[in-house]
Amino acid sequence: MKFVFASLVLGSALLLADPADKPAPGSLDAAVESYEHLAIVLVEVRKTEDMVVKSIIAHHHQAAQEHLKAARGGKDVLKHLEAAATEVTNVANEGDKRVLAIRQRLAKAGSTHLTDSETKEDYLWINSKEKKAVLAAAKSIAQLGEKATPDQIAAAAKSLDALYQKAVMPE
Amino acid sequence: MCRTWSVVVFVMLWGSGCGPVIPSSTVRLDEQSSSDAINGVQKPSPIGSHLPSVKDGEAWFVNVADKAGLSTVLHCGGTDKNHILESVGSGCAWIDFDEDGLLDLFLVNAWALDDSPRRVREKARNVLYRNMGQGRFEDVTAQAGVGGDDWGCGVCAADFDNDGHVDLYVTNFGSNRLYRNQGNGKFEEVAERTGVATPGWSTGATFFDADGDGWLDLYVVKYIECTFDDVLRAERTTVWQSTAKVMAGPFGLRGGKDRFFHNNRDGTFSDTTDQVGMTDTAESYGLGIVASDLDSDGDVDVYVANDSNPNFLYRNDGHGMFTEIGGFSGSSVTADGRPQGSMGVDAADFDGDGLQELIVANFAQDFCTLYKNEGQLFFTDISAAQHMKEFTYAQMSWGCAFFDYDLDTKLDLLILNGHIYPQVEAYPALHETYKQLPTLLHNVGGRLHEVSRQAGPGLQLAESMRGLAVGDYDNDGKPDLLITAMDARPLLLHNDTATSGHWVKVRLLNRYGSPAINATARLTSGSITQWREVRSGSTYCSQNSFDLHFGLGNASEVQMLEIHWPSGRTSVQRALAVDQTHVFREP
Repeated sequence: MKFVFASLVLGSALLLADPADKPAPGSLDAAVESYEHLAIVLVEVRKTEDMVVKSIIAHHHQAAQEHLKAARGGKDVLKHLEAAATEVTNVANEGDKRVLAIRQRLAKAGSTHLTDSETKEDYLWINSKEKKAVLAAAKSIAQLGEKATPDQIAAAAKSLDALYQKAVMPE
Repeated sequence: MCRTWSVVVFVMLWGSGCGPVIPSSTVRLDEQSSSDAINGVQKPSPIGSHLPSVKDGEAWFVNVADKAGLSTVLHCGGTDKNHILESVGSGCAWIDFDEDGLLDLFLVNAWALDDSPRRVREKARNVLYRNMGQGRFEDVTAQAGVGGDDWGCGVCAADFDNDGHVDLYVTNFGSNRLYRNQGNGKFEEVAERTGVATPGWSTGATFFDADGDGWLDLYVVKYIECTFDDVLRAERTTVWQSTAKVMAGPFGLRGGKDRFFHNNRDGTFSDTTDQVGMTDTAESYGLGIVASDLDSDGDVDVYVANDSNPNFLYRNDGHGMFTEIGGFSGSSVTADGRPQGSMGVDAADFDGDGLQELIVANFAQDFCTLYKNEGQLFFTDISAAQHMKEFTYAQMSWGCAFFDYDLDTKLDLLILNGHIYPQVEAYPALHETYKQLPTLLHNVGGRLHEVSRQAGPGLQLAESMRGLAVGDYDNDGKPDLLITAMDARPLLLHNDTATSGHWVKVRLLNRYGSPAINATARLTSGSITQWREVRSGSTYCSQNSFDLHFGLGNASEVQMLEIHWPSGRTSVQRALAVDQTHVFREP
């Protein structure tokens, strides 16, 4: 991780250099070397992004399971089921709304609106089929309602866990 | 051809059994025909001559904007549309600002830009047209004092200060305006003083009583954070479908944060967005909004249509506290779990089960989404079953509204279309056009059928359309359409559908005499029950007429009208005459 941040600093410094400046003699080699360093940084950053997002998903899954466990306890059942459903939605979206705000700024500047291109994947871990299934699970959990039995809730928790494990497995 | 309709308006004071009768007025319609170009279809014969040959209920709309005197051009930036601000257009409203029983109309305007060099050419003004009757309107903007020259986006209306007069809230790129109706034909601008000027880029807005205290609160939707310098400096850097270079965004740009303003009951508002649970942490690119009691539990919920991001559904707990439940409600994304580029939204009990469905108008190469209401704020995307992809996939859609154009008791659906990239015209292989035709879907037994291209000359006018407001401006009982389009004059589509169906309009007034926002009316005629709600702001950045319009088919009487007032009171009226406007006032 330290390497990543050090590389980031290096990369930033390089990026801050004004490309419009006249190149000094022999600077091509230096530029290529810088690009080599930058490539290492970019690769590491992408790996880091994967792991950060995976940890975000894991947090939401764990929170969902905790709410389902609390709902099984029979107190504030609906409140916990809805809280679990919200967390499951966050699993599907690979993060809550704060992450959504970050992601839309990270999206390629100038990229256009989403379309329903079947091949388009906007997420790092959860593909569109998995997302559909996870969102359906969120709705089902919320729809269990305040009269949900512990068995029903346990079944939902088990089903959710299976979806989660499948979703976070490397493709 | 001349036709005569009698519009008899009854005022029935709630609780008094039968009230005084307002003297009847007669509206006489002159022959109306479109002088506008017809695109893609044979120009039909004049209106009067076609009527005998058409089938009962066959849709027929005619643009009468010219004859009505609507000459204002609505601007939105330059020709090339280098910045996304130049893509969203502006809204429109039907309001009876002078309370003479005739719908007046308000048009939001923006600025015209030169493309090379980029600079402001004209700061166009909003326009208020007074309905003079006989299908004619006069520009009373200056006298009324509503001609703000801001870069306008949207409008919603309501009586925010309970003085009995309908006020106008105009959203802008820049500070918003609140025009307080003084009741004498003039307005005063009070946004700053009342605390709702809210800088930034606002789009949709709606007044509604969030906490049931009898005072209307305000939700303002925000799109993108940017400056006017950004607009002037913008260059087209996005490559659309591997062809044209077009404007950038919204991805890569920072989204605006929606705001909620609580009415302090003293003529001012406070921004309580965070306190009521409406913090917009997603910073989504918001455009459309509808505030409605979507779960029929007596309080008002809020649905926000976001461009390129999941839509929001805020559930009201009955005390003005909100929880955003779009994610698990099934209404924020498609059945595939995919967010869409959402623009406009409307809600209505489309299938007659007593619960309101949602229609959301979306970006091109994507369908408009119809969400069936399952109750308790759970929704199912039924777009596939209703063939929405077939009807709406190619177009880029904006204003949308449920309405019963043929008075057959079934709610039909109109969707306005228009691209944001004028550059698509240069690439025929894209099969896209900047100016597009609207889509009219006829509801036959709960199934939607497209009738757009057989629906008269008004529906064959291609423009890059945006705002839509539905209202019966000539009181003939058939809902007409007010439409805004990019860099063009507005369209006023008179509903000339030949129908033997009956109708009633219901005007619900609160105890102050102004529209009872979010009051609902459940009407029973024959074996059919219909449900409508009074609303401030919806479709796309626009305001429908406050009158609740019901098509009755061949029913000759309304057996029962059950009114649910925002205060929680209920009143029941029986045996109402048809083909009239009935006015009811909350005690």
